[in-house]
Amino acid sequence: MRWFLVAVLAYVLLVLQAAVFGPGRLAVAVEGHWVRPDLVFILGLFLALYFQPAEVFIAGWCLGLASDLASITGRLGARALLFAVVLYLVSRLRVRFLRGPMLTQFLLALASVFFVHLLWYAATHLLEGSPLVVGRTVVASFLDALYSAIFAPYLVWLLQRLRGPLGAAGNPVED
Amino acid sequence: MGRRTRRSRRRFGGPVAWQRIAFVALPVVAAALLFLPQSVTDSLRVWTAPLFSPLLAATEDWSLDLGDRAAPAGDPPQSQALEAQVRSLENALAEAAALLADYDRRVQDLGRLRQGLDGLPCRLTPARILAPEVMGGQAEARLTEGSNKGIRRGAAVLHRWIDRGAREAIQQGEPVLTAAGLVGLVDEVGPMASTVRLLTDPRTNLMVQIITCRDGRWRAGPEGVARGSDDGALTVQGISRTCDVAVGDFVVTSPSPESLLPPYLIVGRIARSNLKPADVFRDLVVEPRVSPSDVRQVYVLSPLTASNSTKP
Repeated sequence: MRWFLVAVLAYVLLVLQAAVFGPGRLAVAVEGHWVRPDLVFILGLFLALYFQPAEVFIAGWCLGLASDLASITGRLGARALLFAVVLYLVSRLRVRFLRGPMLTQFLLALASVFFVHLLWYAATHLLEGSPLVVGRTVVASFLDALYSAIFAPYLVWLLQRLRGPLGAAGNPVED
Repeated sequence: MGRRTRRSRRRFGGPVAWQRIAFVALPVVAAALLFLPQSVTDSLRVWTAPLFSPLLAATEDWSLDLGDRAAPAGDPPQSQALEAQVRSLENALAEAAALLADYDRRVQDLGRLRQGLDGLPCRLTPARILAPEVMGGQAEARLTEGSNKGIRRGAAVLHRWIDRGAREAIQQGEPVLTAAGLVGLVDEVGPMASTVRLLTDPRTNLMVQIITCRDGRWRAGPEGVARGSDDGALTVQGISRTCDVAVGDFVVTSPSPESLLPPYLIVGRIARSNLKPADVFRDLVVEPRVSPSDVRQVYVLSPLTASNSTKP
């Protein structure tokens, strides 16, 4: 893995997330929650498809920490831990997601972003001692996941054009 | 070269080793970060925020809010609403500032009163004197008293209304005063308003004492009775002609146990002394310290009892 290029890509995606999908821009307000895609996690999913689990774990941790620093709420380290664990699991199981690239990427992004965001919202509420409204949290996580899944195939397609510079194999590594 | 590089990497802990170390260490670091104080987290975010927002200015006008797009060009409903909101906020701010100034004045008055009462256990109820034209004071004085009681046409207003009554546990006979001095006594108590018998009311009888100042030293002088009159004057009677009193001396409520009022409340200052050659006693005309026509904010002084000790 070319760590420097991954870092540059992550930075670009974070800046895009803040500038293009920030509140009042292309983020969608739904009952007080700003729905926007998690582009950095999509990058992590791409890494999980093409790199070894240990590297994906470290990259996921770094991507999560960068995402924590760029956000305005929540605790530092929460996304770092969640990204690292979920992307590691995806990289360990990636052979099951090679069929039907666009649909697979859409469903993979939908499920994994939903899972990560749900856990993140729940952990944030618990750590801050505020009451957790389960229904609202589930809806918010699902909307985030849906918005991310819409962009996932296009972003993965772009990243596949950068497989060479990133140091990824020609095809996703199978177990 | 490639083999030497791979061998040297294995000897000094190659990528596999550092990845294993990171695999173990990073979750611990993340857990430690989770328990950082929120203030530290916020400071870090504030510090790093400019790194992630270089393009914010470029996307300022991007919005998915269809309500904004639906508004026709040249129609500034938001700016008019904002201006109206700003105006109402400014009015509210001015009102709040006036209220605050009023409360500050009250607090200062209460402080001076408490100091003057010298630790007397009592309750001070803020009240407001209602203007006579509001309560029909003059007309009521003429109508209720009638000419058979000596009320002449155009006579002085003898009582005022205050906006406190039985609801505030006000009782008849309680003194009404300001930080400057005594205004009168509570006369008739209604549910929410009461009348105040002014010092100049002919029914007023106060036990008073003269306080003199000679050569820079204050001394307690003789005691007498202050009475009001029909023409709005306040006169102290029962002062012997030989007593040392002069114009400008203070008249205060008497500290005698027979007095129904707290002691040393300022009634007024001696304006003139009426003394005929054959008189044994002199009449001292007193100018009340507080002009009832000028004062609006007063306090009702109530004794502190167990029933009203917890009331404001």
